[in-house]
Amino acid sequence: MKILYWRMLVGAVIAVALISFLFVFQTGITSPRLAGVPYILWSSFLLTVLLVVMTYIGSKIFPYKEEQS
Amino acid sequence: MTLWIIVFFVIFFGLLVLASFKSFKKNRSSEEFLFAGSNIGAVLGFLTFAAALFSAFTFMGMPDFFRNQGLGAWIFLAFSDGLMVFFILWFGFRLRKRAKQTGYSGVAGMMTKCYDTRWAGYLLFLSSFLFLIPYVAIQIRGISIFLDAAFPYGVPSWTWSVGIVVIMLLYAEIGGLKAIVFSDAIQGLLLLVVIWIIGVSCLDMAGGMKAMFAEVERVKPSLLSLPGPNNLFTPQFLVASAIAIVLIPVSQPQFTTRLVVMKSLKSVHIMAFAVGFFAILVILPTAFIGLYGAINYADVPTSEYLSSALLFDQANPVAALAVVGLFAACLSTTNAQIFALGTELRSLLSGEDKKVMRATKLSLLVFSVIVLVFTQLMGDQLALLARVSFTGTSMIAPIVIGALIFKNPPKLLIITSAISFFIMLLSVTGVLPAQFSGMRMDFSLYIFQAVTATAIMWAHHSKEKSN
Repeated sequence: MKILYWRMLVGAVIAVALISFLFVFQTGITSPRLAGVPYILWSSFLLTVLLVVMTYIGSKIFPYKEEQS
Repeated sequence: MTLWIIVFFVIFFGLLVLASFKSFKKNRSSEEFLFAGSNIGAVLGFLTFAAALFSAFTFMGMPDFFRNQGLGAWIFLAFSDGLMVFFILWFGFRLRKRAKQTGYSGVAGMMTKCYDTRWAGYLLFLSSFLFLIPYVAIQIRGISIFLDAAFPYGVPSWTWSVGIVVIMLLYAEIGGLKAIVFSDAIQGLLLLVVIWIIGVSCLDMAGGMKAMFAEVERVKPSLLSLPGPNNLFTPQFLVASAIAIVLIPVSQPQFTTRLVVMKSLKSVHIMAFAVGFFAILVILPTAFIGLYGAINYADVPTSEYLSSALLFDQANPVAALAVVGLFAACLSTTNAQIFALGTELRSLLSGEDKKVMRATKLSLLVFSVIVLVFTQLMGDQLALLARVSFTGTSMIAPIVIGALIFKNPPKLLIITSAISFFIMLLSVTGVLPAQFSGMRMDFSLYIFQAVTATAIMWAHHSKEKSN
């Protein structure tokens, strides 16, 4: 089961990267703003936080164990 | 300010001396000297990885990058770092597994064993040597420019460079990798504290978040959107940067070695997401410092902007802390890289341990001298020069990844990596153009590598299966 969750997470991270580069990081856009912060900064900031949270989840569900030497 | 600088330097050097002597051991083997006994825990591992990653380039290059190129700088570094830390979860596992099977003395040595040819090791060493030396040099040059501004007493900037290298060699010689790891921990925490104090101060001087963005919009609105005022942050640039940064742990030996010498896979995983949070925490204030610069120092040279924003506009204790913080940042990154080059060279040598260790130490001295020569030749574009280093070394990534996936990896991967590496080198040095068929050269090479490496690995996998 852990392998399935891990694979789903890997797929989700790849999807986040693709969606970000294809649709979120658009040229010439500054709005909508969030508390005065231009679109490109707040959107990329939130996506970065999302990736780090996914890394945390990944560290918890990583399915493979290290062999003890 | 000078008194504050002296006080902070005394404290910093006191901690360095403590770290060096705590790590010193008589009659240690080259294994203990170069790999710190392979027993680095999660906290120290996180701090040493973060300190090696976020250096003088982050402290000085990123504010300047935000000032000149705009908010896309966040995607260039922070978003890419987010992808990198996730990749470390898998890469760390495979790397450590393979390192246990083959025995680890350095990435170059490991590749020599995995591919059963010295050419794989030579190519890895060449890639590290050619692209890390300029990267180390820009760190030292950056801090020398800064110290020049902090101490305008007519001391030539090369004396600062020599001073940094001598201190670095001294404590690396005394304590080996362990001393470097301890000093990284000190530097990592110092960097975080200093950059936030200066970032908040710049934000405050700019009138707060809303006022700062409103003012930037008035003076240079193109900084607030992609692709930025110089059209740098095109999709190709951002994607190629993300690939180069994700591959940093694969292709830059100072990071690869840190992943191997950590105590356990669990420590590596804790380190990975901790580095991700650290990246966000460290890069955010550089945006404030950069935008403050865009408002107040839009058209001045880099050195003038940095010395003003980080020193002269700050209260004396903060400015003094910035000098020491930058010095520490520069020291830890450069020693991580030069030490990694020594480790890589050592992994290609064979013979009696004492002789190999002597040759490795001598090589550290030689690399340092080469770096010193380079510091006098480098330009001021710290962030872009750092990117060239990330991109250049990433060209050999298929060799390392192939060795982690296959027990007997296909030697064709060495050839495709070598082709990409030399094309990149010729493009960087201006022999070949920076564009290919209307695309950036690095972007074209990543496409070439993705297609050829996937085809080679697929064919190899099918062949292994049918046997």
